[in-house]
Amino acid sequence: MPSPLLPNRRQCLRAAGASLTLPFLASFPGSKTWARQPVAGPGAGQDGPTDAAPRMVCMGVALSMYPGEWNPARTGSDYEAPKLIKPLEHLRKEFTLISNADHPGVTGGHKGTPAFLSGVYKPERIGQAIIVRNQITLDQVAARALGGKTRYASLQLGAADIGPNDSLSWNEKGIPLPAMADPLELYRELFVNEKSPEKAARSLSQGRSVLDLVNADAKRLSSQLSSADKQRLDQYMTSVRGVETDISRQIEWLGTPKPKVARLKDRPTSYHENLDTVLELAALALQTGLTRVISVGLPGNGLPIMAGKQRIGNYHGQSHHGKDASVVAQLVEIETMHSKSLARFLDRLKSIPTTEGNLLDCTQVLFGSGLGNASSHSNRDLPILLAGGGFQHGKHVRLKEKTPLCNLFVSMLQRLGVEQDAFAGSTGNVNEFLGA
Amino acid sequence: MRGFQNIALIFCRWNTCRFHVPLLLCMTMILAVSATRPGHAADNSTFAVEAKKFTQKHCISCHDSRKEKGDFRVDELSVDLMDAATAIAWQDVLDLVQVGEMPPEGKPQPSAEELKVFVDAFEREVQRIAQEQSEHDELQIRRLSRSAMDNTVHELLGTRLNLSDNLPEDTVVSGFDNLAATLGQSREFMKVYQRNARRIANDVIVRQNSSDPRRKRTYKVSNLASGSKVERGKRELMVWSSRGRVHCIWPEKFKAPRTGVYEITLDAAQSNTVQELILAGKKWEFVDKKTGKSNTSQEKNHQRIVLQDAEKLRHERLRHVSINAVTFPVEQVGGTTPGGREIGEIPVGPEMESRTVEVELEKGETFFIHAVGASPRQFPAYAKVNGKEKLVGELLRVKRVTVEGPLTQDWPPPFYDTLVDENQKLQYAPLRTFLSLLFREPCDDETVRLYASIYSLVMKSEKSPTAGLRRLVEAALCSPRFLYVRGPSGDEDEAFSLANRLAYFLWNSPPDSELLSLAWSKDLLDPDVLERQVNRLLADDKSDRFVNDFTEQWLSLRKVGDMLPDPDRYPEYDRELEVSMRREPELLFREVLRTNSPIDDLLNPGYALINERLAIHYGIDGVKGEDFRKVRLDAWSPRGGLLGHASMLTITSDGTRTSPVVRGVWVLENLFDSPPSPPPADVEPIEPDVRGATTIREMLAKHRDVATCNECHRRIDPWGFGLENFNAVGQWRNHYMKGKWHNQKGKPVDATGRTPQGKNFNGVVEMRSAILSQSRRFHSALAAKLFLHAMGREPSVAQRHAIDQIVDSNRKGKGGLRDLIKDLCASPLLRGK
Repeated sequence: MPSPLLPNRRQCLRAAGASLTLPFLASFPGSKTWARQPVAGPGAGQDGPTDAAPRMVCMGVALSMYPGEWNPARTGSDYEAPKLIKPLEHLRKEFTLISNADHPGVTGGHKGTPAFLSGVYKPERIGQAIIVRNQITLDQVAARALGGKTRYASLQLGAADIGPNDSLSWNEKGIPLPAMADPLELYRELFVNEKSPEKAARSLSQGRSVLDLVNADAKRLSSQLSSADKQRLDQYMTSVRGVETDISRQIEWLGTPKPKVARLKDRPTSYHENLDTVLELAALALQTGLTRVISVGLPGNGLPIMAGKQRIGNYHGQSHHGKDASVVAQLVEIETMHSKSLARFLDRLKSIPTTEGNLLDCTQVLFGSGLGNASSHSNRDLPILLAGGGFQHGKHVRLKEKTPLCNLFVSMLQRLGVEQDAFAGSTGNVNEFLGA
Repeated sequence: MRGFQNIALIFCRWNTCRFHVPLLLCMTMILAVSATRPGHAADNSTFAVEAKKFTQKHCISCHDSRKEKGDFRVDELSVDLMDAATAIAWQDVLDLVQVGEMPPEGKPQPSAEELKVFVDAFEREVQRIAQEQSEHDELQIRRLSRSAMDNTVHELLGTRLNLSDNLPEDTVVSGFDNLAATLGQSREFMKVYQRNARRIANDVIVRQNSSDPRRKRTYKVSNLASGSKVERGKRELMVWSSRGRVHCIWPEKFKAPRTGVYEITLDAAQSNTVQELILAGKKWEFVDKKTGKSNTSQEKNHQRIVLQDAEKLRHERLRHVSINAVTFPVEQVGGTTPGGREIGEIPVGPEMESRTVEVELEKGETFFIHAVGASPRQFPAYAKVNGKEKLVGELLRVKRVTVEGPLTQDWPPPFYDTLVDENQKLQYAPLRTFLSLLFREPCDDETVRLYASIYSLVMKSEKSPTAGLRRLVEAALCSPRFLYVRGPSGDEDEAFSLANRLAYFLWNSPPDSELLSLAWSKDLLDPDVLERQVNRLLADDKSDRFVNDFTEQWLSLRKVGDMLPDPDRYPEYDRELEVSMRREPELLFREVLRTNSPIDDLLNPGYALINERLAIHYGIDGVKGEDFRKVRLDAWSPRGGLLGHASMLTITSDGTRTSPVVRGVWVLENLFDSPPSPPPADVEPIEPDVRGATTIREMLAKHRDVATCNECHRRIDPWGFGLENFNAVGQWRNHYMKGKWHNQKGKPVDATGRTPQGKNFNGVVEMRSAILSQSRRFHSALAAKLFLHAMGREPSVAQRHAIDQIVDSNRKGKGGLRDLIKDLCASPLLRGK
């Protein structure tokens, strides 16, 4: 039921622009990266408040969250927040902490990272080496259901560049989807219109003709090859057709202007500024209906990590703290900044009105890691936080030991309206704990 | 059924396998075999008899249903070598028996005679089967690796742009990212690839009358702009070194006129002025710039670190300067904190000199320069020296910045004029040559017509021959004929396929005209001609590309710099050291190859190839300057060979502590080609604890007390223990570090170990001898890696056999590395046989 006080379209855009910059100015020193004047104009592709269609965001931390400061000692709703949960304290009613869930059978330390959202780590030998064959990840299953009508079926983002083997999102063929970590590039992709749509259309369709041509040539070539070689070339042709499909989708959307938001001027210079900017763009993409599914990776490398003015070096090294108290303290400081970024993002979603409430109510935000304890490279008892999405939150739920995390994935998918009662190694669901 | 699953599991978990087979593949193969071929024929062969005889005597007591040691049961292993998985399992059995790792120490050992009968029977059987199977088709087609595709466009089109920019990384298998099976091609790959192909097409297709964009622009103090913490003198700018990009300088009003490669020259010097003040005994104190008050809180700390640094380095080190591209004019980016992407870096030393770096700039981009050499720990930027406030610390002094470019071979590039006539008509004959060059084999009429069609299509809608030609070049670069190196599909192609394989193996580049014309005439198939060509290729400078590409992958050198070592423990670790350590193994391999020295020289050359920075790191005196040179070593020196290279020792550590397990695995993988399996799924890893007084050896001892762990770890750990005298960045140590600043002596290092064959050693030098006493294993491993690199796939059992024969004949001769590579190239192996 729309409220009579809802702003009109222009006001709403202004609000989007203003809220884009305001919480930022207060919270992060790198606000120089955003232009102060929000740019509003016609053709923003958005009328009134955002719709309340279900959405999903999955955030994965490569190096886990220090177990000693993550899960509260008590279960239920009156738990005392450990250090890493403290920054989220004011949002307590908006999320659930889940302990004792992991992916049974998945081991191999950092190799568990790509398994975070797939539940599968299938090491495979090529000769004597191991490579990972992955399966489709949670976000991509969701994208198949929710991504048909949006400009982007899904977005893969990162706080920093992410190598293919650490990728969070994998498609149905087990191929890692590269993440965009450069806010400027992302901003251009999402919000900057082509100067001349006609010229862009011509360029795109010529690009498609090029692909038609090489595909035709590949077919000719294929007829001369042995069967094993044919398979390789089939992969080539599939990739070419994939790009053709993408180009067609792009051409289709060329006539629709991209939403207008405040101008992003420059790249951030620290890890968490970058993360915050990427998350800000993610929130805008969800708000303006560009996509409904986003994954965000927090890798162990990237721009310098700044705690205030102090630079904390060697994040990966800190994760191997060897129980040295001073190192643990620094690690917790870094991870507290992760929690703060998450809190800002949740606040942001909560501040955006939809036709039925706020954006967080209809957006499931999963935050966690494929690594349980980075210091020992353990893949047991993963840190898991689920926020928003209309579930009943506010608790710390301790599941039975070694409960498949995929049970949670099943519940999340069902809530999105995906009729699926199993996901990878699931043995059921966790609906009972989430009031779903 | 369960039995078959068990065998399948063996291949995955049996920890000593040389080859492992994907679990599922292996299961289906075995199941298929059991359904169709019970293997009666094989049971009657000599191999079946000999294998049974040998294993009954030496293996069965541990590897049967009662004990199942190492999860391996020999009584369930079929003797049908037609089945690839079975053949591989037997190969592993033989490998372990031949190197003396099985039967284990303390059990009765087979006699030489027994062993020979067993091995001969196996080899006869393998050969028989290899002949039977020789017609089976194998994977021949292989996508160009990233570096190969870049070299190819640079060579053939004269562009300096790369095709591989921003492509998703390829999967790395045993360090190699150029294997046919993993050089994948996804939609994401193709999307980026096409964009890169278009950039290159735009770069090389230029109308004849367009004006030459190449310029040299010089910027002196007067037209160099600056951010904060930069002191402007008359002739020099002083830039404070930090990780922060606020402290930067940039050329005023520079904008790249065209996307391309530019040469940036910096006339600069760099030094730590605080260090100079301390060493000169001058009085100084930090001040807060804003308040002007003195700031003494950090002085002691700073003094300690600077002195520690000065003592450890004993020289004025090179400090790195980073160059970053930005799309907006730097001064408009809020003035102070530009982002930008890093496009290059230049090492700058204490003396004022010119240094150059090549960088890629997009059209319209500009760049800024900032010094990043400072220690990660930051101190105040200003100090009062003799009552005067000065910028102090690690300072970059810049006199001049020169930008030259874009660099291109010719201007304008020749293609437009060659391919299009004055009536804007496409010329078919030159187009055929052009396409044949790009596809590296003759191109038929139909193919030429197909690629010409895009030109007509674009001409129809745009009437621009430049646009048409650009799309044509884009299509040619996206073509599978460009992107894949193919095997022969008939006799005709065999020579071209060989020319391509040789060129990409020994040059990592496309075949040149000499190779192509010898392929055209088929003379290349003549053994004498082939040998002359291999000699020519190896003698050419382009063979450096092979050396760099191969060593980088074999030794995983790309990992150098992935992880910054803990600055508290290793404050002297800097970029210059990193760059130098990465170079060392490449130079050693090149030297051994150039001089055709024995392969063993890779482990113990008797000299080190180092520069001043590495010499300091290694504690070797008398090496000055950044150029690498040969320094003779005593026989007892741990340095020189791969086992004493800081690169390996650093990438096998976690930046804080050493790990004998990881180093042991490195030895097994890289020197023996015999990697252990990963730990079984039900074992939780050890959580390191540095608080107590336990050493890593003591922690591992507990681990090895568990029988299932010991199976593997007795093979792995000793090779790592032998390297314990090297710390996590490869410096020598006799004691572990302890204390808050890690500068106190901890427990003494114990570098003793015992090979699986029961030979004791103490320290790296004795361990090196122990490895060299089984040098055939090392040679065979290296040959297998070279094959992997050349062919893009693991050798089959039969090919492995052929490789070992080449190794044996090489060992009978001089045992030179160059000879080994020549023999590999000349053998039928390189033709996929």
